[in-house]
Amino acid sequence: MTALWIMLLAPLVGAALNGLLLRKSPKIVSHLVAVGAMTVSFAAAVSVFLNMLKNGGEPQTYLAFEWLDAGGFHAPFKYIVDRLSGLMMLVVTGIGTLIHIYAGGYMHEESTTYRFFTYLNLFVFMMLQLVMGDNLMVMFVGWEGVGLCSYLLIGYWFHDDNNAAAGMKAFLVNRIGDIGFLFGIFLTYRHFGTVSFSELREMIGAGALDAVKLGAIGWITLCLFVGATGKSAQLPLYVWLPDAMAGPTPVSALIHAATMVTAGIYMMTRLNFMFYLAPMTMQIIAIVGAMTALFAATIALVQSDIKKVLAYSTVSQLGYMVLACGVGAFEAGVFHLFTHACFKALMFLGAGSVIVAMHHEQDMFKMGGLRKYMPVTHAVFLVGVLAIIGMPPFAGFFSKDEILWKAYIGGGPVIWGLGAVAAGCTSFYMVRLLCLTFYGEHRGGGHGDHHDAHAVHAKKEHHDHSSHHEPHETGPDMWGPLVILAIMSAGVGFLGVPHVLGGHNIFEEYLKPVIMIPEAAKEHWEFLEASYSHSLEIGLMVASVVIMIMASGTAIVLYGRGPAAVLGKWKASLPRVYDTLSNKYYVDEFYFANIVQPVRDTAEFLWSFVDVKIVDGAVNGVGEMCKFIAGSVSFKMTGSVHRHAMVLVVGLVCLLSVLVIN
Amino acid sequence: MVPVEFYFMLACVIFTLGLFGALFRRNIIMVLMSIELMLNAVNLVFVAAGRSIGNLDGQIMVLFVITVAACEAAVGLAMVIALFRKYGTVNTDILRLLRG
Amino acid sequence: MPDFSSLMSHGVFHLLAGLITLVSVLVVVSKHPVKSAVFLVVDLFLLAAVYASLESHFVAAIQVLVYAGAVVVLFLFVIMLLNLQPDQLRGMRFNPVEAVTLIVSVIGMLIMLGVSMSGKPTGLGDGSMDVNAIEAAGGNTYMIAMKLLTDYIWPFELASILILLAIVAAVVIAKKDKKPVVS
Repeated sequence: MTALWIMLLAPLVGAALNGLLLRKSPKIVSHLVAVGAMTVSFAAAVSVFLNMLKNGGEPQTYLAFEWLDAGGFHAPFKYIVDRLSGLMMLVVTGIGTLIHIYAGGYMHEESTTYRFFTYLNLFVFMMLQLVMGDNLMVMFVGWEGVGLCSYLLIGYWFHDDNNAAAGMKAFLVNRIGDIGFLFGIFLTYRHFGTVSFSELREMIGAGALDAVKLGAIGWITLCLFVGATGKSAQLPLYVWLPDAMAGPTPVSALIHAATMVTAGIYMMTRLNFMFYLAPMTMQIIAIVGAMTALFAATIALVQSDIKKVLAYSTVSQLGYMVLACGVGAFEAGVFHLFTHACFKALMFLGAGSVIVAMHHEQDMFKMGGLRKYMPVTHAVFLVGVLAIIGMPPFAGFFSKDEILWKAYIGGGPVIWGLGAVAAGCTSFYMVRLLCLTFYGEHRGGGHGDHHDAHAVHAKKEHHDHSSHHEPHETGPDMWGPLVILAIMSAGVGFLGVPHVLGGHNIFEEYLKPVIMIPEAAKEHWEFLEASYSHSLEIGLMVASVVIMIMASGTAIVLYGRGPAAVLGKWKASLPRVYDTLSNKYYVDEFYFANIVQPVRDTAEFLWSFVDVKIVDGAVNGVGEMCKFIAGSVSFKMTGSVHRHAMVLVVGLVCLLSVLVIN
Repeated sequence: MVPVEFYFMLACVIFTLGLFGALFRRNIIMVLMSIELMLNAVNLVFVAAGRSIGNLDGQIMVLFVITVAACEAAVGLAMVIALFRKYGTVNTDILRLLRG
Repeated sequence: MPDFSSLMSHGVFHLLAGLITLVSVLVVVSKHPVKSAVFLVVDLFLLAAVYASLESHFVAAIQVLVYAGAVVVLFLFVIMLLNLQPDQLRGMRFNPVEAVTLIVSVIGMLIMLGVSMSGKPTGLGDGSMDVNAIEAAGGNTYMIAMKLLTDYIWPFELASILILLAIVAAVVIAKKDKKPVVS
């Protein structure tokens, strides 16, 4: 299946070309190579997808090469093309291509674009390994690979220490999750003798599993979930995602909205048959997901940096997806993954356009009124906001409500309640973002100050400065992809219209064959198949729409013309609440004090004592000893050749005598 | 037939004499000459041993030794000339450059 | 009847040995380098005679031609070139400690050598060194040539390269440094 190999290798080729050859080439060449590679990959992906559909969506595996084969451990480099991976590869390559096109415009001020596009293409390659792999090892290769690329791209402007630190934080926190993932792999191999998805599915679907295996599955799923927590930014390992906003915005869009962070959800869906057999773990997953959704949403309420709002929003939405997995509704989780990829990428790219227009100002309180300067960006951003808050008939409505419904029937009103409150917060902060950025008066106050500082310049320069300060719309290479994403955000929802509203929920039907509830667990998950009263479902839907409208309305009132005065009073009256929220519940500080600092202190101690005194002492000691011996003996070197020869002869005689005596 | 040990003993004597010269003469050229003497002793051993084993290998070895000795003498003397040009003496008591 | 031929060869040998020892001592002890060189030539001739008595005619000839005829001549050239004045000539240097150490160690070595060799059988087989066999095969030179150019062809070629290297090295080392031209 050549199309498959083309799809997989095109990004790698693009990365290699950019990384190895195009260092001195003009930026446009790097951009074209990268976009070209992505387009080729996307086209190939479409071909593979259509081919798969023609085969009735039956899973097909393709071997690249034999990789690991030691003892009983067999992990070939095999790819699986089935409904789930087909969907993922379209998302990765499709949205990836759009972001690559956008990135050319965004990064046009950069001098090292070749490096950027190398990493970006490499990322796509790794992500494809992750989603197309047929066994845990190939997935892990992709898992680590995207972590690496994420690090490289977050810390892209590494000359600033903060950016480099953010990259490191992402990598290290991910690593902690990866330990869990690795343990999951180890346990899987130990108890099942294989790490291949196809084989595991057969084994678990086929027959009765003894208690040992069932117990093991509980631990395996838990370990794997720890990995998902790291990669998909759930509590408590989400802390890297907000800091990752230090990277260029296209990176945030691609990696931290549309693809990498969804890896955890993908992994759980891939192994759904295992997770179904571990109700305890699923409970934990659901709770973690719901709590993350709410937790992050509350933090987003008071953030002033536009990218941070979007970052916490991502964490929150990922919480929704994880919640869906936790209640066994994997199809709903993947559906939300899909819609979220569209509108979150859209909003990140939109934010990028805004940031570029505002000359890299990211504080929303310094924006405002951009609607009249950037009409296209405003329009597409509006679509994105409507999608995420769940305004029917945009995509977010269908996917989010699907999750909330499944959460209700699977986890009860409490879980639903958490999700609903989080949804309310989501509506509030997203509308707040929209208002602060696009409506009201342009508060380019920062530029005003800038203005005053330059007052001493000649009048002519003064004028030029002022014309520069007014933001203007970005070029079509930047809003083009946004428009496409907006159309998708608007329309994609119709793939998943639930039955209760008269639709066929094509999405759920499409993914159904991937999901398999093993016999042993059927009874626990019966509620997924049962039928419920339509009025209940519609009632919940109405409730969530009402919450959305109320929250959005509140936000419009408070922020429609710029921040209302009453907000200042609230801030003053509840200072501690505000501070806690705006400082992200002091989680980072907590981690720093209790984890990072002790590690650092230990390392410092080890260095100052063990390394300097003991190790260096030993090494230097040897050197000192040599010097000492040499010094004490060197007087023997008289420089006389004869003396040397004499010693030589005497030594030779000794040697010979030893030989002879033996 | 002269027993082969006599040849060996003669060679030892020549070798020792050469050794004495190499270690105790103060003129570099004399040192080189003494080394030639030592090489000759070795040649004698080779020839005698080859004779007693019944092989021609000993003599062939000698040919090579003579070749090498000639080369070494040539290069060594060239160095002596260079040294003499630089330092004006061939006295090893004075030429102690490797001191230290 | 005493075996005259063996007596003769013994006698010749002892005579030669004595002379060689004497001359070698003179070589080592002479103050003037030219004297030493001349004594060395005599030494080499005597050794050639010893080789001849051991049926190694070719080696003997080479010894005279190359060693005595070229190497020592080279020595003489250099000695003449240096043109050492009488006051610059020195004899042996004598550090009693060194001398005694050396003598003792060398004697010790010789004793041990002798001890180790005394148990070996004497007169190891003559075999292919039989005079008549050599004559029949074409002479000592012929046989050496055959061996040299078949079994020992590699060392032979490498030796020629070595000689080339030595020539180049000697010429380069002994070259006069170019004096800077002062204008």
